Amino acid sequence: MMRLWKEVAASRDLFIELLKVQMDQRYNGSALGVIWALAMPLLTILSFSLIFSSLSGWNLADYGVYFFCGYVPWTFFQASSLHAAESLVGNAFYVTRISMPKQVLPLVAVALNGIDAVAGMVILFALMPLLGAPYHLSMLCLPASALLTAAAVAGVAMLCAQANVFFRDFRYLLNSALFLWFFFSPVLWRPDTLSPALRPFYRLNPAVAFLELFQLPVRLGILPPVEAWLLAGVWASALLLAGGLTFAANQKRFYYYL
Amino acid sequence: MKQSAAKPAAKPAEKLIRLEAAGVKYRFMTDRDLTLRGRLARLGSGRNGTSREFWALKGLTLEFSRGEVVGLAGPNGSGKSTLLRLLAGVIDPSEGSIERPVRVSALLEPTGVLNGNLSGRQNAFLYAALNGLERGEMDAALPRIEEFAELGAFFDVAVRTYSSGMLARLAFSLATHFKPEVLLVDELLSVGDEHFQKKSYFRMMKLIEKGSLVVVVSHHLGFLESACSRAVLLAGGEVMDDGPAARVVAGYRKRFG
Repeated sequence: MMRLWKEVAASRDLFIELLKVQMDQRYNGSALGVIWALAMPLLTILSFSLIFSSLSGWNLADYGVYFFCGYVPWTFFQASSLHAAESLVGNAFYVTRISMPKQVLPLVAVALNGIDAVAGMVILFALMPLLGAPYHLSMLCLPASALLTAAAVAGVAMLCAQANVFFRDFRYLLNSALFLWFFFSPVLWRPDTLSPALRPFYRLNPAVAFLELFQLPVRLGILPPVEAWLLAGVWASALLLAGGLTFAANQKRFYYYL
Repeated sequence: MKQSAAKPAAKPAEKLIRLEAAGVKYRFMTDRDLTLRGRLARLGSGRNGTSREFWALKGLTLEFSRGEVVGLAGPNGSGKSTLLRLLAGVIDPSEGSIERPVRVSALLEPTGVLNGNLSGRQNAFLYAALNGLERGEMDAALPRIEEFAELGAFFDVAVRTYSSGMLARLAFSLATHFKPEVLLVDELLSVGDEHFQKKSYFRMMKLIEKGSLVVVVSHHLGFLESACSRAVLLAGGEVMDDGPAARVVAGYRKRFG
Protein backbone atom coordinates (compact mmCIF):
# COMPACT_ATOMS: atom_id res chain seq x y z
CA MET A 1 0.00 0.00 0.00
CA MET A 2 2.79 2.41 0.90
CA ARG A 3 4.66 1.34 -2.21
CA LEU A 4 1.54 1.97 -4.22
CA TRP A 5 1.40 5.50 -2.90
CA LYS A 6 5.12 6.11 -3.45
CA GLU A 7 4.73 4.99 -7.03
CA VAL A 8 1.89 7.43 -7.53
CA ALA A 9 3.96 10.25 -6.09
CA ALA A 10 6.89 9.30 -8.30
CA SER A 11 4.78 9.13 -11.44
CA ARG A 12 3.42 12.64 -11.25
CA ASP A 13 4.59 13.32 -14.80
CA LEU A 14 2.79 10.23 -16.11
CA PHE A 15 -0.35 11.30 -14.28
CA ILE A 16 -0.28 14.76 -15.79
CA GLU A 17 0.56 13.48 -19.27
CA LEU A 18 -2.30 10.95 -19.24
CA LEU A 19 -4.66 13.59 -17.89
CA LYS A 20 -3.64 15.94 -20.70
CA VAL A 21 -4.19 13.24 -23.32
CA GLN A 22 -7.63 12.40 -21.93
CA MET A 23 -8.69 16.02 -21.58
CA ASP A 24 -7.57 16.63 -25.10
CA GLN A 25 -9.70 13.76 -26.30
CA ARG A 26 -12.72 14.72 -24.22
CA TYR A 27 -12.81 18.40 -25.00
CA ASN A 28 -11.27 17.97 -28.41
CA GLY A 29 -9.02 20.92 -27.70
CA SER A 30 -11.78 23.44 -28.29
CA ALA A 31 -13.57 25.90 -26.09
CA LEU A 32 -16.86 24.58 -27.42
CA GLY A 33 -15.88 21.12 -26.20
CA VAL A 34 -15.93 22.37 -22.62
CA ILE A 35 -19.37 23.82 -23.17
CA TRP A 36 -20.66 20.46 -24.40
CA ALA A 37 -19.22 18.76 -21.35
CA LEU A 38 -21.07 21.18 -19.07
CA ALA A 39 -24.28 21.58 -21.08
CA MET A 40 -25.67 18.16 -20.23
CA PRO A 41 -25.42 18.44 -16.43
CA LEU A 42 -26.75 22.00 -16.55
CA LEU A 43 -29.77 20.94 -18.58
CA THR A 44 -30.33 18.06 -16.21
CA ILE A 45 -30.22 20.38 -13.23
CA LEU A 46 -32.56 22.86 -14.86
CA SER A 47 -35.18 20.32 -15.92
CA PHE A 48 -35.06 18.34 -12.67
CA SER A 49 -35.39 21.55 -10.69
CA LEU A 50 -38.41 22.63 -12.71
CA ILE A 51 -40.16 19.28 -12.41
CA PHE A 52 -39.38 18.40 -8.82
CA SER A 53 -39.85 21.82 -7.31
CA SER A 54 -43.34 22.02 -8.80
CA LEU A 55 -44.07 18.46 -7.65
CA SER A 56 -42.97 19.15 -4.10
CA GLY A 57 -44.25 22.70 -3.97
CA TRP A 58 -40.78 23.81 -2.96
CA ASN A 59 -39.53 27.21 -4.08
CA LEU A 60 -37.71 26.82 -7.39
CA ALA A 61 -34.59 28.84 -6.57
CA ASP A 62 -34.08 27.16 -3.20
CA TYR A 63 -34.68 23.72 -4.70
CA GLY A 64 -32.30 24.50 -7.54
CA VAL A 65 -29.47 25.40 -5.17
CA TYR A 66 -30.13 22.32 -3.04
CA PHE A 67 -30.24 19.97 -6.00
CA PHE A 68 -27.22 21.57 -7.69
CA CYS A 69 -24.90 21.32 -4.70
CA GLY A 70 -25.75 17.64 -4.23
CA TYR A 71 -25.81 16.73 -7.88
CA VAL A 72 -22.25 17.96 -8.60
CA PRO A 73 -20.53 15.71 -6.04
CA TRP A 74 -22.87 12.85 -6.94
CA THR A 75 -22.00 13.16 -10.63
CA PHE A 76 -18.33 13.31 -9.69
CA PHE A 77 -18.72 10.01 -7.85
CA GLN A 78 -20.85 8.37 -10.52
CA ALA A 79 -18.80 9.43 -13.54
CA SER A 80 -15.49 8.66 -11.84
CA SER A 81 -16.60 5.14 -10.92
CA LEU A 82 -17.83 4.35 -14.42
CA HIS A 83 -14.83 5.93 -16.03
CA ALA A 84 -12.44 4.14 -13.67
CA ALA A 85 -14.14 0.81 -14.37
CA GLU A 86 -13.07 1.24 -17.97
CA SER A 87 -9.62 2.54 -17.18
CA LEU A 88 -7.65 -0.70 -16.98
CA VAL A 89 -9.61 -2.61 -19.62
CA GLY A 90 -9.62 0.36 -21.97
CA ASN A 91 -5.88 0.86 -21.55
CA ALA A 92 -5.03 -2.84 -21.74
CA PHE A 93 -2.77 -1.86 -24.61
CA TYR A 94 -0.42 -0.14 -22.17
CA VAL A 95 -0.91 -2.44 -19.22
CA THR A 96 0.13 -5.53 -21.20
CA ARG A 97 3.07 -3.92 -22.95
CA ILE A 98 4.99 -1.87 -20.46
CA SER A 99 5.76 -2.08 -16.80
CA MET A 100 3.99 0.98 -15.42
CA PRO A 101 2.30 2.00 -12.17
CA LYS A 102 -1.19 0.82 -13.08
CA GLN A 103 -2.98 2.59 -10.24
CA VAL A 104 -2.37 5.84 -12.10
CA LEU A 105 -5.08 4.89 -14.63
CA PRO A 106 -8.14 4.87 -12.33
CA LEU A 107 -6.75 7.90 -10.49
CA VAL A 108 -6.55 9.84 -13.75
CA ALA A 109 -10.23 9.03 -14.29
CA VAL A 110 -11.00 10.56 -10.89
CA ALA A 111 -8.94 13.66 -11.62
CA LEU A 112 -10.58 14.14 -14.99
CA ASN A 113 -14.05 14.11 -13.47
CA GLY A 114 -12.80 16.18 -10.56
CA ILE A 115 -12.08 18.98 -13.00
CA ASP A 116 -15.67 18.79 -14.23
CA ALA A 117 -16.92 18.88 -10.66
CA VAL A 118 -14.88 21.96 -9.80
CA ALA A 119 -16.22 23.65 -12.94
CA GLY A 120 -19.74 22.66 -11.85
CA MET A 121 -19.25 24.20 -8.41
CA VAL A 122 -17.93 27.41 -9.94
CA ILE A 123 -21.06 27.63 -12.09
CA LEU A 124 -23.19 27.08 -9.00
CA PHE A 125 -21.44 29.94 -7.21
CA ALA A 126 -21.98 32.16 -10.24
CA LEU A 127 -25.68 31.30 -10.33
CA MET A 128 -26.36 31.73 -6.62
CA PRO A 129 -26.78 35.53 -6.66
CA LEU A 130 -29.12 35.20 -9.65
CA LEU A 131 -31.23 32.73 -7.68
CA GLY A 132 -31.26 35.03 -4.69
CA ALA A 133 -29.25 32.61 -2.59
CA PRO A 134 -26.76 34.25 -0.22
CA TYR A 135 -23.15 33.19 0.09
CA HIS A 136 -22.34 31.77 3.51
CA LEU A 137 -19.12 31.89 5.47
CA SER A 138 -19.54 28.17 6.10
CA MET A 139 -18.94 27.55 2.39
CA LEU A 140 -15.25 28.02 3.11
CA CYS A 141 -15.24 24.42 4.33
CA LEU A 142 -16.07 23.13 0.85
CA PRO A 143 -12.44 22.42 -0.13
CA ALA A 144 -12.25 20.05 2.83
CA SER A 145 -15.56 18.46 1.76
CA ALA A 146 -14.19 18.03 -1.75
CA LEU A 147 -10.94 16.52 -0.51
CA LEU A 148 -12.69 13.91 1.62
CA THR A 149 -15.05 13.07 -1.22
CA ALA A 150 -12.17 12.75 -3.67
CA ALA A 151 -10.37 10.37 -1.31
CA ALA A 152 -13.44 8.16 -1.06
CA VAL A 153 -14.03 8.27 -4.81
CA ALA A 154 -10.38 7.36 -5.45
CA GLY A 155 -10.86 4.25 -3.31
CA VAL A 156 -14.04 3.30 -5.13
CA ALA A 157 -12.34 3.98 -8.47
CA MET A 158 -9.55 1.52 -7.71
CA LEU A 159 -12.11 -1.09 -6.68
CA CYS A 160 -14.19 -0.58 -9.83
CA ALA A 161 -11.15 -0.73 -12.10
CA GLN A 162 -10.14 -4.12 -10.70
CA ALA A 163 -13.65 -5.51 -10.69
CA ASN A 164 -14.07 -4.78 -14.37
CA VAL A 165 -10.82 -6.58 -15.19
CA PHE A 166 -12.06 -9.77 -13.57
CA PHE A 167 -15.73 -9.40 -14.55
CA ARG A 168 -16.27 -7.62 -17.81
CA ASP A 169 -19.97 -7.07 -17.21
CA PHE A 170 -19.27 -5.28 -13.94
CA ARG A 171 -19.56 -1.93 -15.66
CA TYR A 172 -23.17 -2.54 -16.67
CA LEU A 173 -24.03 -3.76 -13.23
CA LEU A 174 -22.38 -0.68 -11.76
CA ASN A 175 -24.31 1.57 -14.08
CA SER A 176 -27.65 0.15 -12.94
CA ALA A 177 -26.62 0.15 -9.30
CA LEU A 178 -25.57 3.79 -9.47
CA PHE A 179 -28.85 4.72 -11.14
CA LEU A 180 -30.86 3.16 -8.31
CA TRP A 181 -28.53 4.44 -5.63
CA PHE A 182 -29.05 7.97 -6.91
CA PHE A 183 -32.74 7.83 -6.05
CA PHE A 184 -32.03 6.39 -2.61
CA SER A 185 -29.64 9.23 -1.86
CA PRO A 186 -30.77 12.69 -0.75
CA VAL A 187 -29.97 14.60 -3.92
CA LEU A 188 -33.45 15.09 -5.39
CA TRP A 189 -35.24 14.95 -2.06
CA ARG A 190 -34.54 16.46 1.33
CA PRO A 191 -33.80 14.14 4.26
CA ASP A 192 -36.21 15.96 6.58
CA THR A 193 -39.10 14.92 4.35
CA LEU A 194 -38.30 11.29 5.17
CA SER A 195 -40.71 9.46 7.47
CA PRO A 196 -39.22 9.06 10.99
CA ALA A 197 -39.32 5.28 10.68
CA LEU A 198 -36.80 5.38 7.85
CA ARG A 199 -34.38 7.87 9.41
CA PRO A 200 -32.04 5.37 11.12
CA PHE A 201 -31.58 3.37 7.90
CA TYR A 202 -31.01 6.45 5.86
CA ARG A 203 -27.75 7.09 7.70
CA LEU A 204 -26.38 3.75 6.53
CA ASN A 205 -26.04 5.10 3.01
CA PRO A 206 -22.41 6.24 2.74
CA ALA A 207 -23.36 8.82 0.11
CA VAL A 208 -25.29 10.72 2.79
CA ALA A 209 -22.14 11.44 4.77
CA PHE A 210 -20.53 13.15 1.80
CA LEU A 211 -23.59 14.94 0.42
CA GLU A 212 -24.14 16.61 3.79
CA LEU A 213 -20.70 18.16 3.63
CA PHE A 214 -21.88 20.11 0.58
CA GLN A 215 -25.57 20.64 1.24
CA LEU A 216 -25.38 21.97 4.79
CA PRO A 217 -22.90 24.78 4.13
CA VAL A 218 -24.25 25.81 0.71
CA ARG A 219 -27.99 25.80 1.30
CA LEU A 220 -28.34 26.38 5.03
CA GLY A 221 -25.07 28.10 5.80
CA ILE A 222 -24.34 25.59 8.55
CA LEU A 223 -20.93 24.14 9.20
CA PRO A 224 -21.37 20.34 9.15
CA PRO A 225 -21.18 18.92 12.70
CA VAL A 226 -18.10 17.04 13.88
CA GLU A 227 -19.96 13.72 13.59
CA ALA A 228 -20.56 14.37 9.90
CA TRP A 229 -16.85 14.99 9.28
CA LEU A 230 -15.91 11.93 11.28
CA LEU A 231 -18.37 9.71 9.45
CA ALA A 232 -17.15 10.92 6.06
CA GLY A 233 -13.54 10.54 7.22
CA VAL A 234 -14.11 6.96 8.30
CA TRP A 235 -15.81 6.08 5.01
CA ALA A 236 -13.11 7.79 2.99
CA SER A 237 -10.24 6.06 4.77
CA ALA A 238 -11.98 2.69 4.65
CA LEU A 239 -12.67 2.97 0.91
CA LEU A 240 -9.21 4.28 0.12
CA LEU A 241 -7.64 1.50 2.15
CA ALA A 242 -9.85 -1.17 0.60
CA GLY A 243 -9.16 0.10 -2.91
CA GLY A 244 -5.43 0.49 -2.37
CA LEU A 245 -4.85 -2.82 -0.59
CA THR A 246 -6.81 -4.92 -3.08
CA PHE A 247 -5.17 -3.12 -5.97
CA ALA A 248 -1.71 -3.83 -4.56
CA ALA A 249 -2.62 -7.47 -4.06
CA ASN A 250 -4.22 -7.99 -7.46
CA GLN A 251 -2.18 -5.90 -9.87
CA LYS A 252 0.16 -8.74 -10.83
CA ARG A 253 -2.84 -10.73 -12.03
CA PHE A 254 -4.32 -8.06 -14.32
CA TYR A 255 -2.09 -9.08 -17.21
CA TYR A 256 -3.64 -12.53 -17.41
CA TYR A 257 -7.17 -11.14 -17.67
CA LEU A 258 -6.53 -8.33 -20.12
CA MET B 1 21.23 -32.60 -27.52
CA LYS B 2 23.33 -29.62 -26.59
CA GLN B 3 22.23 -28.22 -23.24
CA SER B 4 23.06 -24.60 -22.48
CA ALA B 5 26.77 -24.79 -22.94
CA ALA B 6 28.31 -22.19 -20.66
CA LYS B 7 29.65 -19.20 -22.50
CA PRO B 8 33.43 -18.99 -22.74
CA ALA B 9 34.49 -17.34 -19.51
CA ALA B 10 37.20 -15.32 -21.22
CA LYS B 11 36.03 -11.87 -20.15
CA PRO B 12 33.45 -11.93 -17.40
CA ALA B 13 31.00 -9.18 -18.34
CA GLU B 14 28.66 -7.65 -15.81
CA LYS B 15 25.41 -9.56 -15.54
CA LEU B 16 22.35 -7.39 -16.15
CA ILE B 17 19.54 -9.91 -15.97
CA ARG B 18 19.48 -13.18 -14.13
CA LEU B 19 16.67 -15.72 -14.30
CA GLU B 20 16.65 -18.52 -11.77
CA ALA B 21 14.43 -21.53 -12.54
CA ALA B 22 11.78 -19.06 -13.70
CA GLY B 23 8.44 -20.25 -15.00
CA VAL B 24 5.32 -18.48 -16.23
CA LYS B 25 1.97 -20.14 -15.92
CA TYR B 26 -1.13 -19.18 -17.84
CA ARG B 27 -4.50 -20.49 -16.87
CA PHE B 28 -7.11 -21.12 -19.49
CA MET B 29 -10.71 -21.84 -18.89
CA THR B 30 -12.11 -23.93 -21.68
CA ASP B 31 -15.41 -22.15 -21.50
CA ARG B 32 -13.82 -18.99 -20.32
CA ASP B 33 -16.38 -16.33 -19.76
CA LEU B 34 -15.10 -13.19 -18.10
CA THR B 35 -18.46 -12.06 -16.84
CA LEU B 36 -20.07 -12.19 -13.46
CA ARG B 37 -23.23 -13.50 -15.12
CA GLY B 38 -21.30 -16.30 -16.80
CA ARG B 39 -19.56 -17.31 -13.64
CA LEU B 40 -22.80 -17.33 -11.66
CA ALA B 41 -24.49 -19.40 -14.35
CA ARG B 42 -21.64 -21.88 -14.18
CA LEU B 43 -22.00 -22.06 -10.41
CA GLY B 44 -25.72 -22.61 -10.76
CA SER B 45 -25.36 -25.41 -13.27
CA GLY B 46 -22.79 -27.10 -11.05
CA ARG B 47 -20.37 -27.15 -13.96
CA ASN B 48 -17.04 -25.93 -12.82
CA GLY B 49 -15.35 -24.12 -15.65
CA THR B 50 -12.66 -26.61 -16.49
CA SER B 51 -9.51 -24.63 -16.21
CA ARG B 52 -6.35 -25.84 -17.80
CA GLU B 53 -2.94 -24.74 -16.75
CA PHE B 54 -0.29 -24.04 -19.26
CA TRP B 55 3.32 -23.32 -18.58
CA ALA B 56 4.42 -20.82 -21.21
CA LEU B 57 7.91 -20.92 -19.72
CA LYS B 58 9.33 -23.57 -17.47
CA GLY B 59 12.53 -23.79 -15.45
CA LEU B 60 14.43 -21.04 -17.20
CA THR B 61 17.87 -20.34 -15.82
CA LEU B 62 19.52 -17.73 -17.97
CA GLU B 63 21.92 -14.87 -17.60
CA PHE B 64 22.28 -11.85 -19.82
CA SER B 65 25.33 -9.60 -19.68
CA ARG B 66 26.35 -6.17 -20.85
CA GLY B 67 27.47 -5.89 -24.45
CA GLU B 68 25.55 -8.93 -25.64
CA VAL B 69 23.10 -9.10 -28.53
CA VAL B 70 20.98 -12.10 -27.75
CA GLY B 71 18.60 -13.50 -30.34
CA LEU B 72 15.57 -15.45 -29.15
CA ALA B 73 14.58 -18.13 -31.66
CA GLY B 74 11.95 -20.80 -31.65
CA PRO B 75 8.78 -21.86 -33.38
CA ASN B 76 5.48 -20.03 -32.80
CA GLY B 77 4.19 -20.52 -29.29
CA SER B 78 7.54 -21.51 -27.88
CA GLY B 79 7.50 -18.75 -25.27
CA LYS B 80 9.65 -16.08 -26.93
CA SER B 81 7.23 -13.23 -26.42
CA THR B 82 6.43 -14.35 -22.88
CA LEU B 83 10.14 -14.33 -22.10
CA LEU B 84 10.42 -10.83 -23.51
CA ARG B 85 7.52 -9.70 -21.31
CA LEU B 86 9.20 -11.28 -18.33
CA LEU B 87 12.44 -9.43 -19.09
CA ALA B 88 10.47 -6.21 -19.58
CA GLY B 89 8.81 -6.56 -16.18
CA VAL B 90 5.29 -6.62 -17.61
CA ILE B 91 4.78 -9.97 -15.87
CA ASP B 92 6.47 -11.61 -12.94
CA PRO B 93 7.50 -15.26 -12.90
CA SER B 94 4.90 -17.62 -11.41
CA GLU B 95 7.79 -19.58 -9.92
CA GLY B 96 11.51 -19.00 -9.65
CA SER B 97 12.97 -15.52 -9.68
CA ILE B 98 14.27 -12.75 -11.89
CA GLU B 99 16.68 -9.92 -11.26
CA ARG B 100 16.45 -7.07 -13.69
CA PRO B 101 17.45 -3.41 -13.84
CA VAL B 102 14.75 -0.81 -13.43
CA ARG B 103 15.19 0.98 -16.72
CA VAL B 104 14.45 -1.40 -19.52
CA SER B 105 13.37 -0.14 -22.90
CA ALA B 106 10.97 -2.60 -24.45
CA LEU B 107 9.47 -2.76 -27.92
CA LEU B 108 7.17 -5.69 -27.39
CA GLU B 109 5.87 -5.12 -30.83
CA PRO B 110 7.42 -3.21 -33.69
CA THR B 111 5.15 -0.24 -33.16
CA GLY B 112 5.65 0.03 -29.43
CA VAL B 113 2.92 1.71 -27.40
CA LEU B 114 2.06 4.61 -29.67
CA ASN B 115 -1.34 6.23 -29.23
CA GLY B 116 -3.03 6.56 -32.61
CA ASN B 117 -4.88 9.77 -31.79
CA LEU B 118 -1.76 11.66 -30.81
CA SER B 119 0.86 13.13 -33.07
CA GLY B 120 4.42 11.86 -33.14
CA ARG B 121 5.48 14.73 -30.93
CA GLN B 122 2.71 14.16 -28.38
CA ASN B 123 3.50 10.46 -28.38
CA ALA B 124 7.10 11.27 -27.55
CA PHE B 125 6.00 13.04 -24.37
CA LEU B 126 3.60 10.27 -23.46
CA TYR B 127 6.40 7.76 -24.05
CA ALA B 128 8.68 9.71 -21.73
CA ALA B 129 6.03 9.77 -19.01
CA LEU B 130 5.18 6.08 -19.39
CA ASN B 131 8.83 5.17 -19.06
CA GLY B 132 9.49 7.36 -16.08
CA LEU B 133 11.81 9.81 -17.82
CA GLU B 134 12.19 13.30 -16.47
CA ARG B 135 10.10 15.93 -18.19
CA GLY B 136 13.15 17.96 -19.23
CA GLU B 137 14.89 14.93 -20.73
CA MET B 138 12.36 14.66 -23.53
CA ASP B 139 12.37 18.40 -24.20
CA ALA B 140 16.10 18.23 -24.77
CA ALA B 141 16.02 15.03 -26.79
CA LEU B 142 13.09 15.80 -29.04
CA PRO B 143 14.95 17.45 -31.94
CA ARG B 144 17.32 14.49 -32.26
CA ILE B 145 14.52 11.96 -32.03
CA GLU B 146 12.63 13.83 -34.72
CA GLU B 147 15.73 13.87 -36.87
CA PHE B 148 16.48 10.18 -36.42
CA ALA B 149 12.92 9.05 -37.18
CA GLU B 150 12.96 11.02 -40.47
CA LEU B 151 9.21 11.51 -40.52
CA GLY B 152 9.31 15.06 -41.82
CA ALA B 153 6.05 16.91 -41.45
CA PHE B 154 4.34 13.72 -40.31
CA PHE B 155 5.94 14.15 -36.90
CA ASP B 156 3.10 16.54 -36.08
CA VAL B 157 0.33 14.42 -37.58
CA ALA B 158 -1.78 11.85 -35.72
CA VAL B 159 0.08 8.57 -35.60
CA ARG B 160 -2.93 6.58 -36.87
CA THR B 161 -2.21 7.93 -40.34
CA TYR B 162 1.30 6.42 -40.32
CA SER B 163 2.32 3.35 -42.30
CA SER B 164 3.69 0.45 -40.28
CA GLY B 165 7.20 1.38 -41.34
CA MET B 166 6.73 4.92 -40.11
CA LEU B 167 5.34 3.67 -36.80
CA ALA B 168 8.36 1.43 -36.40
CA ARG B 169 10.69 4.33 -37.11
CA LEU B 170 9.14 6.47 -34.41
CA ALA B 171 8.94 3.61 -31.90
CA PHE B 172 12.54 2.60 -32.46
CA SER B 173 13.80 6.16 -32.26
CA LEU B 174 12.04 6.62 -28.93
CA ALA B 175 13.09 3.27 -27.52
CA THR B 176 16.77 3.69 -28.28
CA HIS B 177 17.36 7.38 -27.79
CA PHE B 178 17.89 7.35 -24.05
CA LYS B 179 20.65 4.73 -24.15
CA PRO B 180 18.73 2.07 -22.23
CA GLU B 181 20.75 -0.49 -20.30
CA VAL B 182 18.53 -3.14 -21.76
CA LEU B 183 16.73 -2.97 -25.09
CA LEU B 184 14.13 -5.60 -25.87
CA VAL B 185 12.87 -5.83 -29.43
CA ASP B 186 10.24 -8.07 -30.98
CA GLU B 187 10.63 -8.42 -34.76
CA LEU B 188 11.58 -4.84 -35.30
CA LEU B 189 13.87 -4.83 -38.25
CA SER B 190 11.36 -6.63 -40.41
CA VAL B 191 9.23 -3.52 -40.84
CA GLY B 192 11.34 -0.51 -41.78
CA ASP B 193 12.79 0.01 -45.24
CA GLU B 194 16.37 -0.97 -45.97
CA HIS B 195 17.72 2.48 -45.24
CA PHE B 196 16.14 2.57 -41.82
CA GLN B 197 17.03 -1.05 -41.10
CA LYS B 198 20.68 -0.18 -41.59
CA LYS B 199 20.35 2.90 -39.46
CA SER B 200 18.69 1.00 -36.62
CA TYR B 201 21.28 -1.73 -36.88
CA PHE B 202 24.09 0.81 -36.42
CA ARG B 203 22.31 2.38 -33.51
CA MET B 204 21.91 -1.01 -31.92
CA MET B 205 25.60 -1.71 -32.33
CA LYS B 206 26.43 1.64 -30.76
CA LEU B 207 24.29 0.78 -27.75
CA ILE B 208 26.18 -2.47 -27.35
CA GLU B 209 29.53 -0.73 -27.51
CA LYS B 210 28.34 1.51 -24.72
CA GLY B 211 27.63 -1.61 -22.68
CA SER B 212 23.91 -2.14 -23.19
CA LEU B 213 22.27 -5.50 -23.55
CA VAL B 214 20.02 -6.12 -26.54
CA VAL B 215 17.58 -9.01 -26.71
CA VAL B 216 15.84 -9.56 -30.04
CA VAL B 217 13.06 -11.94 -30.97
CA SER B 218 13.13 -12.86 -34.62
CA HIS B 219 12.02 -15.52 -37.04
CA HIS B 220 14.52 -14.18 -39.47
CA LEU B 221 17.29 -16.71 -38.98
CA GLY B 222 19.71 -14.91 -41.28
CA PHE B 223 19.35 -11.80 -39.15
CA LEU B 224 19.92 -13.74 -35.94
CA GLU B 225 23.05 -15.32 -37.42
CA SER B 226 24.54 -12.07 -38.62
CA ALA B 227 23.49 -9.61 -35.92
CA CYS B 228 23.53 -11.59 -32.69
CA SER B 229 26.51 -12.69 -30.63
CA ARG B 230 24.45 -15.30 -28.88
CA ALA B 231 21.15 -17.05 -29.46
CA VAL B 232 18.73 -18.86 -27.20
CA LEU B 233 16.49 -21.47 -28.76
CA LEU B 234 13.17 -21.98 -27.04
CA ALA B 235 10.71 -24.79 -27.64
CA GLY B 236 7.69 -25.64 -25.54
CA GLY B 237 8.68 -22.99 -23.02
CA GLU B 238 12.06 -24.50 -22.29
CA VAL B 239 15.59 -23.65 -23.35
CA MET B 240 16.69 -26.15 -25.99
CA ASP B 241 19.98 -24.50 -26.80
CA ASP B 242 21.96 -21.47 -25.74
CA GLY B 243 25.24 -20.44 -27.26
CA PRO B 244 26.93 -18.78 -30.24
CA ALA B 245 24.26 -17.60 -32.67
CA ALA B 246 25.63 -19.51 -35.68
CA ARG B 247 25.60 -22.83 -33.85
CA VAL B 248 22.16 -22.36 -32.30
CA VAL B 249 20.64 -21.29 -35.62
CA ALA B 250 22.17 -24.30 -37.35
CA GLY B 251 20.64 -26.53 -34.71
CA TYR B 252 17.28 -24.80 -35.12
CA ARG B 253 17.33 -25.36 -38.87
CA LYS B 254 18.06 -29.04 -38.33
CA ARG B 255 15.25 -29.51 -35.80
CA PHE B 256 12.48 -27.39 -37.23
CA GLY B 257 13.64 -26.37 -40.67
